[in-house]
Amino acid sequence: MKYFLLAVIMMNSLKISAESISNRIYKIENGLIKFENGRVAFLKNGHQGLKSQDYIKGEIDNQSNLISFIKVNHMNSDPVKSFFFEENEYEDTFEPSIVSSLKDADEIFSRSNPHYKRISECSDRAHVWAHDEFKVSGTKSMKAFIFFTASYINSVRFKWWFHVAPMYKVNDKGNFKDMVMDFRYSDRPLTVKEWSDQFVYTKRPCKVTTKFSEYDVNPQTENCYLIFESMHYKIPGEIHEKELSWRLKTKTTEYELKASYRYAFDPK
Amino acid sequence: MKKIYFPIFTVLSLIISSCGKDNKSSQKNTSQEFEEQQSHGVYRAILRPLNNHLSGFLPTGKAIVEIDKEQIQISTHLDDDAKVLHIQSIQNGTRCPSLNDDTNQDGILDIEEATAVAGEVLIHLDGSLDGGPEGDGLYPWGSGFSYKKRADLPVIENEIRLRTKKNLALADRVVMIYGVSKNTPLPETVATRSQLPKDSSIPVVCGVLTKIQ
Repeated sequence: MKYFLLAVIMMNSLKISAESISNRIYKIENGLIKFENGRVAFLKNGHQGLKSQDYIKGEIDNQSNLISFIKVNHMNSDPVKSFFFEENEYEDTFEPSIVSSLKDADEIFSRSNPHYKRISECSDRAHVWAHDEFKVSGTKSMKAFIFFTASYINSVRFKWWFHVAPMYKVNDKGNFKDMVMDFRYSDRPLTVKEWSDQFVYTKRPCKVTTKFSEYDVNPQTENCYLIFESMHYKIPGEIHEKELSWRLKTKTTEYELKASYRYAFDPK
Repeated sequence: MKKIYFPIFTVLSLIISSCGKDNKSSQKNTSQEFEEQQSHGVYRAILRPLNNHLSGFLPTGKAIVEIDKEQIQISTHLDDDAKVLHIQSIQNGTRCPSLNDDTNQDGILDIEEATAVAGEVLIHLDGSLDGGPEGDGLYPWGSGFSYKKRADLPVIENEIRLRTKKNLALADRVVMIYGVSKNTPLPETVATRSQLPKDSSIPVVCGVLTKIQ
């Protein structure tokens, strides 16, 4: 009977499975597509006529290969993806708050809204978590962005090219620590290294930079890059825009927050 | 949400729940047996990734247990990329294992290492919560599955009392879901149970139930 069971399991394991994706291509690099939502897909047969900014609907197999797609005219840009730069904001005056103890950091973590949707983007979740806490306690946080290089993605068949979570500066008995609060993936605040180790299986430290371009044109010698920005930055495009235009994102509008909430969270 | 179940025979479930059971320690706890627990309410576990380095994907999920009068309802959902059998259970430990519990240091947290921390099975989250024959051993199959089952609370309480000599107490109990892709390379050192294929017994998410209402 047990052998029959094993046979049935094996037969079902062979079923072809596919994940649907509907998103805009950020970039095609080294045989992989980076989508704006952070997902990647591998191209087996060259570019297949695809290029940056194409919006596609397609299917990805469980090895992250793009197995079918159609290009879609997607004229309306996502309002969440719009930039919200204040005019003439060229001076960076943002200072994160200091959380007074690790215990307080734990409390912030436990206040994170757990009602996120199964299918939701990390940028929306991080935005809501950071701003919810600001509304509750006035604590100003940072965002930790981690960017994975194409060589790393290829080597471990990683499924994302970037990830983001809120980060707080915490006073641990006189030692100031940056603690990342990634409520969906970890059960407590993590140091930046602990956090990046969750995704970087080589445990190799990520190179910290302030320039998105350093990651974007990297020579593939690193596994990953880290960029720390204020809580107002939501997506990599905003960091890139900052570098290109020297304009800063110094606030988050209610409209933007509501959109993130709507996309990423169920009503309580 | 579409639910896909997959047949596994009861005997396997029972073997999983009984393997590795420490009879001596359960005898030592006789003074704690049948202690009264206030189980009524709503419990939630945020399910977070384990062994995610095996697939490059970080599976996550949630589990909700609602106990109201004479009924218990348990719902889980999993967001994974491996469309495989997902054995799932509530276990009687109080914390989730991590790679620090990988005692043979092969880089993979297997079912034996996980169970040493998360405890043995308290409730099988299969097609038959109360252990009855209908739906017994039927576990969800798929990557993004949702599971919801309802049962008579006294039946479950009795079943647990008979099997574990303890009353049902859900606070701080551990929810585990197992199963990685069949294509996952697994070394010889990875343990399994009950002749399950190794890939079906690798833990992929874990969370601790906390009372929220």
